[in-house]
Parts: sequence; C-alpha cells; structure tokens
Amino acid sequence: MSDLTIHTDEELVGLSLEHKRYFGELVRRYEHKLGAYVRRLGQLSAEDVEDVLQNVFIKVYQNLNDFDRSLSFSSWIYRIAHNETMSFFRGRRVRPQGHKVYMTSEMFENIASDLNVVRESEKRYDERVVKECVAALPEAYREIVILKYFENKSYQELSDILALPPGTVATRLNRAKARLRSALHTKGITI
Amino acid sequence: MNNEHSSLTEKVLAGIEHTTPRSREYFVLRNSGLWLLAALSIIVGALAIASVIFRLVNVGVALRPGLPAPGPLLVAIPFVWIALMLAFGVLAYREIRSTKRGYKYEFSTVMLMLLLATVALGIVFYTSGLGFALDRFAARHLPFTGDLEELQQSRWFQPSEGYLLGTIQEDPTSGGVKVADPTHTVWQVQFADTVVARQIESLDEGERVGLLGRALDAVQHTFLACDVRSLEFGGRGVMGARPMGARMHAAGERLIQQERINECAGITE
Repeated sequence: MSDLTIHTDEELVGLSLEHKRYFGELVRRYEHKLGAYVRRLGQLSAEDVEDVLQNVFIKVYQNLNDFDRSLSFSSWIYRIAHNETMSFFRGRRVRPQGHKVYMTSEMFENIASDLNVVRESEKRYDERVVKECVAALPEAYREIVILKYFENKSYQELSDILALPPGTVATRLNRAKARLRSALHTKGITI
Repeated sequence: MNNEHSSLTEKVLAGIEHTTPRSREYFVLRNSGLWLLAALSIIVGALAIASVIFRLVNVGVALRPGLPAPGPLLVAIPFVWIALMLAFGVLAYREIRSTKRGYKYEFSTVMLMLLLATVALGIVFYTSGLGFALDRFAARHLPFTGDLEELQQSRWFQPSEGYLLGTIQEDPTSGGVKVADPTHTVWQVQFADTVVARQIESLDEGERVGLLGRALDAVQHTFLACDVRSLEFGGRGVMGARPMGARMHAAGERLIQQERINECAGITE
C-alpha cells in the first residue's frame, strides 16, 4: 500500500469505499484522539473504551456513504463517538459521571485564560480544582466544555458534533462557563 | 508511514471484513423519507387549521342573534383538530431536526417556518372547501367533536317559537317559497311586507335559510316570515360557493338584522 499519510481524511473516506484496507489508516489516525475523548465523557474501564471505539469505527465504516462532505470528517467521527458513548451509558442504565478528566498544561492554560482564572502560587493545585469542577458539571455542560477546551474544537465543530444549532451551542457554552466560574469561585479560585 | 496496525485497527478491520457500507441510496431514501414525513405532518396540521378556521368563521352562523351564548359553545372549539395540529407540529419539528442538516436550524426558526407553512396551507384548504368536508367528517366520526349543524338546528329549528330552518325547495318569488325543514317536512312560507323583494330574489334553490316569523298552521305547515337570512356555512369551496353578489347582499343584510328582529316582534308575539 502507498504512503497513506499524504491523503486527507476525506480522501481516505472515498478510498475506504473502494478498499477496506484504507479504513485502517482512519482508525490509526483517530483511535487515540477518540479514546481520550471517550474517557473524558465518563467513567469507563480500558476494555469498555476499546469496545466503544470498536463500535464507533464499525459504525463509521457502515455509514461511510452518509458522510456529509460539507462537514469535516473529524466532526462527523466525533459525533458518532459521542452518540455511541452516550448509548453505551444508556445501555448500562447509568449516567456518565465525570471522572479523571485528563488535562495537559496547554488545556489548563486554555480554560484558565478563557475563564480569567488568576494564577495561584500552586499551579498544580489550580489544575486539580479545575479538573474536579469540570468533572462535577452536569452532562450537557461537561460535554461542551470537554469539546471546547480539551478537544480544542471551534463553535462550528461543536455545532456539528453535538448536532445543535450554533446559537444553542453559544448559549450552552456560556451557561457552562458560568457554572464553572461559580464552582471555581466556591473552591477558592480567584476569577 | 505507519503501516503497523494496532490491535484496535486489526480488530476493526476484522470486524468489517464481512461488512459492506450501506449504499448511498439508502441514506438518500432515509433523508427524503424524513422530509416527506415532515411534509405530511404539515399537511395534517394544515387540515386541522382549515377545520379550526371553518369553526371560527361559522359559529356565528350556527347561533341565533338575540339569544344568550349557548351552554355548549364549547362545540365551536375543535378540540380534536387542535390536539392533532399540536401533535403533528411537534412531529414535523422532530423530523426536520432528524434530517441530515436539520440540526443547524434554530428551534424558533423551524417553529416559525412550520407555523407559517401550516397556516398558509390551512387557509388554502379552508377556501377550497376541505375545512368544511373535514368538519363534517369529524363531527360524524370523531369523539369530542361537536357538530355545528346540530347546534344550528337546535337554535333555529323551533317553528312554534317563530324560528324555521330549512332548505329552499323552489325558486322563490315575491309571493312565497317552499322550504324543507330538517325533518323533511315542506313548509309553505309567505313573506311579510318587512321582507324586501331583493332579499327574496337573492335566495337560491337548495340554499339553507333561517326564517323569523310565525307558524300560521302547524298542520298545513304554513309560515309567515318577516325576515329571512342565509344560514349557509362559509368556506364550502367551489362546490358550495354562492354567487358573489348574493354573498355581498347577505353580508349587507346581516348589518340590519337586529332592526328586522325588532320589526318582527309584532308578528312573532
């Protein structure tokens, strides 16, 4: 097989329809990103995450002809991953609880800067509190915060992934930020 | 390049080994089906609107002037149609949201467009006579749907009290007219001087009319009318439409109906 890295995701979709082997490259490109995203959405074991991801990629393959080329492939696969993860929780009759929201320093900088968090002397302490506050957000707010600050998605991508009108995305994100600010304030973080 | 497959990649490739992607036509059909269902929901909503307009326009025709509002005025409210309209409105919204790009539309935009489309189509249905046909059907076959014709009959068909409801049997002349009441009894109606010639001339054979006056002979079925007015329901479409001139004349007559009721007082007492 030729060098697949030269192809865009959208080109690989077309190629995957002709030959299944190309689909492996799409799996390779997204398995870690989606794995991290699925883990952030709720408390899942490593086996559960793998099961969810496997279902996601099989669904993506089955629905390749439904891919809307006016969207980015990334938004489309994130939407399927989001829906599949939520279905997984519903199947187990549990609500996704915030858990171990993995956050890099870059992510922390993103969120801290947007919420005007005043840096305390102990940066690690700030990060831990922010993680706890994000994890404690209601599901609808947590998922939008995760996509915005942890997955670094634009408003348009948030709209496409969550299948919400852009206006609703903006409103929900503002409310999520307000909740987060309030929670941070309660925990003693200066804003 | 990275051609080494991870275990997940291998599992996925094994999982899709005997699978083929669903065809493009499948998705086109599914999306078209959703739009079709949304369109059907709008049509059902519009039929409900047509029925609601029919009721609102015609409840006045069913009631008799000078009487207090009837207890069963609730008959005028088409509960079933309103419920159907709301249910199919919600359904149409959900179907539009489920289409491929439906999520991009704001709730208020979708609802406003649905409302405009439903009301516009409802007005078209009403003027084409579908509202009338549906109302007749609903009154006879659906529960919780009052019947405007029955209400009209209960208010206007009281010959002993000077109110006669019926259908013109023969071309009216200034001398008199035959009217078949709801029990199919044919009355010979004479017009008092208070009824002007042009009012009589505007009546058509087969037209539903209400007569104010006095039953002269209950056995011979003769009636002296001091006022006559059309009790045809509006919105019956092309088939039931009366000539424009007659309708304008009837509208003019309604303006002076109270005056005529006063003039009738001497005859009916």
